[in-house]
Amino acid sequence: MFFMLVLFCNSNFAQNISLIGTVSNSKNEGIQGVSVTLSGTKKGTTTDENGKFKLEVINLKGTLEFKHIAYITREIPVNGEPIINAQLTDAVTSLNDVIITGYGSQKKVDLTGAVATLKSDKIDQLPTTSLSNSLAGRLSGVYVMQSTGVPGISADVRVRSDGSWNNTAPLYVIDGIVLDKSAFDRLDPSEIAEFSVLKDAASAAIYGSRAAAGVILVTTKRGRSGKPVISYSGSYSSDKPTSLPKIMDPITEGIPFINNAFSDPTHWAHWSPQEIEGLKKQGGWISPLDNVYRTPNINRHTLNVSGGNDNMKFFIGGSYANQKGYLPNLDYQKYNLRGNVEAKVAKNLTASLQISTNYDQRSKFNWNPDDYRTGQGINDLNQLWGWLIAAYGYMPAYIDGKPTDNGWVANLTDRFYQGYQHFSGQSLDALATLKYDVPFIKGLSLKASFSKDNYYGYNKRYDVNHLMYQFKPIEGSSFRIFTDTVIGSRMSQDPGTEYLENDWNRRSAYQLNGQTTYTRDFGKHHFDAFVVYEQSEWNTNYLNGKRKNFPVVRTAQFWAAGSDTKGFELNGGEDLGARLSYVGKINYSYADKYLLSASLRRDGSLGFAQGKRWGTFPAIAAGWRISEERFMKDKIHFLDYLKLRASYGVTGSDAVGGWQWQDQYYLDRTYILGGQPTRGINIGGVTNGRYYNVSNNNLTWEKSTSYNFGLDTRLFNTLNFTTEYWFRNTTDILGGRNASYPAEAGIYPADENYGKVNSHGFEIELGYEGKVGSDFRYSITGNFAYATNKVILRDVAQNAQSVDNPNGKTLGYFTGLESTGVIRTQKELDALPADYTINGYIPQLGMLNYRDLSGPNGKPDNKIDNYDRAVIAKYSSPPYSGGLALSGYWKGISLDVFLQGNFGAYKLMDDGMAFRQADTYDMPWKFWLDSWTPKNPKGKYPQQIEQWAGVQSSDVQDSDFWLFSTSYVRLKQVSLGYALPKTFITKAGLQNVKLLVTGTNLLTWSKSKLYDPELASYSSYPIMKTITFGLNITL
Amino acid sequence: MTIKLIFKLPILLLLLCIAGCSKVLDKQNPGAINPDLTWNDLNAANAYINEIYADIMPEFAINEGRNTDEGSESYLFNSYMAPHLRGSATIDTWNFWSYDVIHKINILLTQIDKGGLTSDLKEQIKGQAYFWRAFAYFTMVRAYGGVPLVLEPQDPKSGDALFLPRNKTSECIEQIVRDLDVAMAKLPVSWGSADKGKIDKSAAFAFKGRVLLYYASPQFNIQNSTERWVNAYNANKTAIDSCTAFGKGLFANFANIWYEDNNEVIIEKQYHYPELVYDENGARPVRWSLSVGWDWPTLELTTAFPMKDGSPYNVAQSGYGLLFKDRDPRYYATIAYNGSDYGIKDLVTLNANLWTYHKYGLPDFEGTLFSNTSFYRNKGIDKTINSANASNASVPWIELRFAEVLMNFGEAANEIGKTDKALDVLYQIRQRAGILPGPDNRYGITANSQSEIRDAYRNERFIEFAFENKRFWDLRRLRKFELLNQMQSRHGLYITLKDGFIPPLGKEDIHQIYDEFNYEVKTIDPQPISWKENYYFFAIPKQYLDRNSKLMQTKGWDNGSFDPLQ
Repeated sequence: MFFMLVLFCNSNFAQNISLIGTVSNSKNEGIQGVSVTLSGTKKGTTTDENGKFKLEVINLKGTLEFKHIAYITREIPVNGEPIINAQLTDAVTSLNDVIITGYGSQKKVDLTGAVATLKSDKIDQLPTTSLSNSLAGRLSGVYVMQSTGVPGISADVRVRSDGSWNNTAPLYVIDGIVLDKSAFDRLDPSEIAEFSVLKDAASAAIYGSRAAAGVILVTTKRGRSGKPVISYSGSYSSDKPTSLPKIMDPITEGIPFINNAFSDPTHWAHWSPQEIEGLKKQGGWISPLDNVYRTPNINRHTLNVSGGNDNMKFFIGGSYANQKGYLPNLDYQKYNLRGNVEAKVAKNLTASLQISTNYDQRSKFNWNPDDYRTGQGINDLNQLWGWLIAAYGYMPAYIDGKPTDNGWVANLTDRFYQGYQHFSGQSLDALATLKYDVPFIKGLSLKASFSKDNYYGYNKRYDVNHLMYQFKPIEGSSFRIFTDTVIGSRMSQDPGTEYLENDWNRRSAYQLNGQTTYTRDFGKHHFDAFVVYEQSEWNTNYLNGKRKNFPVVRTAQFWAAGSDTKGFELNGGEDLGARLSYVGKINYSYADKYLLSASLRRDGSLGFAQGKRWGTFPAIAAGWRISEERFMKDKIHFLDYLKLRASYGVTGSDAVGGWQWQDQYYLDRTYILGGQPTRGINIGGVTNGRYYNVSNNNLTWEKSTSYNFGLDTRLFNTLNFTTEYWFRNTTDILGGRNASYPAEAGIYPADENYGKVNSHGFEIELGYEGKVGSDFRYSITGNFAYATNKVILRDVAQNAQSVDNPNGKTLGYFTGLESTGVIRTQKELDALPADYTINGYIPQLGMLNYRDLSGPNGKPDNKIDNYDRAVIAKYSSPPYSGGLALSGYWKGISLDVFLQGNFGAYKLMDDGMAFRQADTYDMPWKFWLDSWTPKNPKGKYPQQIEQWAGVQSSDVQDSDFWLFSTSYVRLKQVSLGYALPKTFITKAGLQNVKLLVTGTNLLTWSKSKLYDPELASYSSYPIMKTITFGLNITL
Repeated sequence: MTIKLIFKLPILLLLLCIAGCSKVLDKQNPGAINPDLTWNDLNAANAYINEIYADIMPEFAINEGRNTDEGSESYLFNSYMAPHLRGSATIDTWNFWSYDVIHKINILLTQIDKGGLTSDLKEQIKGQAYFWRAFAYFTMVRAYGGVPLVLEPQDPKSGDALFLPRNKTSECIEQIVRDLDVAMAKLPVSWGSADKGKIDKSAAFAFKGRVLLYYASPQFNIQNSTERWVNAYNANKTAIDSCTAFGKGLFANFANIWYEDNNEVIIEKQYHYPELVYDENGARPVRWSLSVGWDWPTLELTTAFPMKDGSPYNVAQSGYGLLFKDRDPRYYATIAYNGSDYGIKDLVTLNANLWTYHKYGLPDFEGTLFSNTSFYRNKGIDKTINSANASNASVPWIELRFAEVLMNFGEAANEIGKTDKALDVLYQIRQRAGILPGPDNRYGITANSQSEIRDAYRNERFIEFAFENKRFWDLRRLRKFELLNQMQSRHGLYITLKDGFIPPLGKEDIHQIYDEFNYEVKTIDPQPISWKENYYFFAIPKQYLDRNSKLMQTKGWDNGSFDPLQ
């Protein structure tokens, strides 16, 4: 159904000339309902269902204007031509789009809730192997946080603000099947037709449980009637880290800095003149990173075929992606294959089958764990690169081709090539749907679908030692500079024990749906209703085996591993879950003006005891298209469209997980008796990482009540504007109340329904389409969102200081000492009270001092300690976010520029990798040059001399000194495309050939100069800057 | 009509589904054990009590030496100082609040009688539970003084009744003794070989002796009440008699107490590779481990050992080059030194002694990261593992052995004037150690007066129990940390090879070459040791005060009003 917004019809004068033509879209299909007017006259008409029009005119002069809400308005001079055909280009934001909503679809104009949509063509050229990463900034109210750049590790996605301290990840629904985020990330953009994000509760409540944090809906591509279309796209991207911290220049800065801190020439850290000379002679500092760095890149290829006829449609697509990280053995590969087939098997009966499979493999070198210093970071390779830059650069990794022994447990460079870790997985998803349009009742259809989703994971880890050679040091060097004389060798001590480990895991789930839909118009009344029954069950299991040592040969095979039974390890486990749901929804509209929808869902969750299991989630929403009202329609010409919306809905969460409603014991620790291991039984359980020992059979749903108010408008046929305001009250939040009970009770209570959090925010989306002359078209679309929350009720200890009381604060606030800066002068030091201590230490020059805010009495006590903490930042995740996309087209050339930003959040510089204390064992970070010394009393950073004596632990406390803003604006993407001229390529039998160059993360504006502000932690694997070359061919 | 059908069809569909799927939500947790089963099944009930062992039995103590003058801890060359020694301890420094274990024990004590185990089995399990409750409370009381006594499982619904004030220290000690008395009655004299390592009657007697010795000691007994010493004397007397009757005694070979099955062990925690191991990396020379800087014996400890004949080591006469010569055999069992036959697997493979002198650039040798005292710990080191497996050590931890029962007894005897008995214990200890009796049969002991014997006991415990995590608690119990304050810093030796000598790397005999080295005494603490008076009773950490308004802080700390001496 199309809407004619501007309609002129006048035929009072005699006409003598017919001006005819056809209006078509980019696929050469006729467009119905395009208003065609002749400039300077009041003559106009609209196109028929084939896109044809006919105008009676006096002469063949003037300019024809073609206008339609879904397309960019076009003007064509008549110039004496009696036949004028016009091809229109899709408007960037089309109000006419049919977008997917829960269990159905709606035209955007009819929507009453807050739904953000995105077509896959906006993102399918982005150089990433994980889908989540490509959504950043594209959808208003959707926050994407790319915490690490490790290949194959995806970004976190959040919709609006966290409304609870529990899991606030959105729900992912792919072709109507509830799946998880990893299934979402496994998709290739080329498989996807579009995304919808259900942001408000009224839209999301249809998914009731787990929908409190929004729903991300994905539909995959379907076949289209017509001659089969084959399309190929390929791209190659080359990466470079956006930024890496710098170390001091070793010769001119670093060594003098260290020698200043350790002035005693007999101290091991002090560099002797011979060592400095030796370092210069061997070519200076060579960071292990320089040895192992390789240029990261991504390769992607996709091939699709789609086609069909009235009875049968198909889409078959495959893709391959390969990403290489910047370190050896750090790779990711992904293979996707999908077939979607739809057939009319009988009159009124349609059957469809969607089968997709994905295989991916992530490879990684072995570091046990990735960082020896903190034991952190399995996935984001925390701190590893930092160490590779700063440590052991004085010693070549190889002398005469022999791996050197630097005294550490392994040769940093050689370690990358010893053994490996492979994480691979294959998913196999099948969805069969049968749809029957009941012939004797118009508008009634029945649909049943069954999907089976299996995932098989296989991880292999092989870890072996390597040989290292010891070399004779040069005269005057203790352990830094060596000659090429071998004086010994040994095996690396890492790993402690060589081993081979296999891990198999499997997840099997099904979802069964039955749906009855009724759609019918009665005059101006439009009805659209459905009821759904949904049931799903899942189970997982894993088996893990490990054998140690390789007595004869070192091969990554179990037959080669030691047969000593003490070296065997075998583990396994199972888990399961189930859900049952009943859903119903009615959409009603009158004369396309008054829109109303209501839905109800009942969900049963295994997370709660019988009797508490069921939750009911209602929603209601209304819309008013004011622009359809008589008092407005055709009266205000520049106003094409105006709609007001309001919605209310309740969504739920059973984030509690596990079986906390049941009294249970579990097998826990190992103890040795009689020389043999025995197991212990513990009470309670561990759920979501929290231990509890008293169950709660009253547990039930966490509930969020949300309100959303929206306005959509389109002005001058060029400017789209949407705004949303929303607020949400989450109650009965599930959480443990440890702090409310005295520790002496020994109670770790199971979760209770008690918490309250309010959140609110707004979103603005703005789009403008314009043109210059007849060939240059451009568009600007922007979005901006604000979302915040406030804790109303959360567990707090009865004597907690106000800083530790979460109530009244944002969910993500954090605390620390308030720094007053470095103690710079003796005068400042003397001014401190006699018994003054800083975290237990006696103050000294060059130390960080802090504000003495409080003490056990609630009064300052001349002791800087935990009592002096204050709220130092309100947000750890950004309350403001936005994106701005600029596009221009000129004769086959397209340019897309996309900027993205996040604002208002802070992070603490993490203490790992010597960021809060200069590490003089390795080469210190460059910024430490500006640290306090008697000669540099204005230095910004604390003194770095006594660190080995433990004084530094007073400086490294969490404080606002180490706080930095993570606000940034980033030039996320620039794409330049060139479509080869049709005349040229049709000769070659091609429909479309397009060349693309895309740059991502090219520029970043941020106050954080030292490192990428987007990363989760200061020491995470860097985010990459990439240049991508792409080619798209359609046959 | 159509409307009716619209509603009928989905309902039909739903009914179909429900008929087939009503069991969807009828599931059992595959990962859980039914609590009721636990109290009807011996294996499960035993597993319940085993968990409590795993929770609260002390771990093998590595790196505890740093808390006193036993050992030094370091990262590279500079000593790390424990907050107590540095004088920078805060109320959060000592955090041992084991009420979750007490909760588990209380559940056991109320639930087990509802199950169907035989009463003998119930009694044995309850005996262990009472012992561990006493153990848990004592571990808190010796740190903080009195703590709230919780003897029943707490119900989250009880509201205000959950918030309890601290009980007096005396009430806690009474309760601990009461629990131990109950445990003694219920526990078996010994367990079968499959249960070796469980708490038995000897353990309860011996532990009661330890509790009462602490309670009589100056930390708690600042008024020096004789009654408490008499109680300690009696309890330890009973413990010696009972333990002896149950087959316990001093094991002839001191060096092998950690490596051989023996009857001296009263409370132990066993380890077994690979299921349960501990990490001894830092205690080994860095060349043969993955870490550095734990339990490096100080010069103070190494000089505290007497000579083979029981006389004190005479620095003035022997200097530091001859520390290794003719010493108390316990010295060799405890300390690894420059030139000693350390015997860890890697050195055996190399056919080499341990060399701890400083000389850069030598292979298979200490090289750059060496002990800052020149000594390494020998006692309890797992020598069967090589460097790559140093995190898989599995020597049993002996929490309490018969020698302690004897010495607890002897110390109490001295305090109530039974000098002979006190001296007799010292002789027994030294005799077993392998010290020569000497012409007067006094094994080098010269102490006669009560205070001399007191000092002799302190020193004997220092060396007898070195690295057994006793020194810290002894110094605290005796209120003797002032000795460390006076000392200002711990010390080590800096040993270098004299010019012109070939660096020894293998089996060279230190007796022949000890004078090829320079020995220099060095201070290892970067700041003066400054233990503070209030550390004799630690503060209750803030997190517990926050959660319970009735909990009063210990006197001597921020606004503390709780007197631990009551």
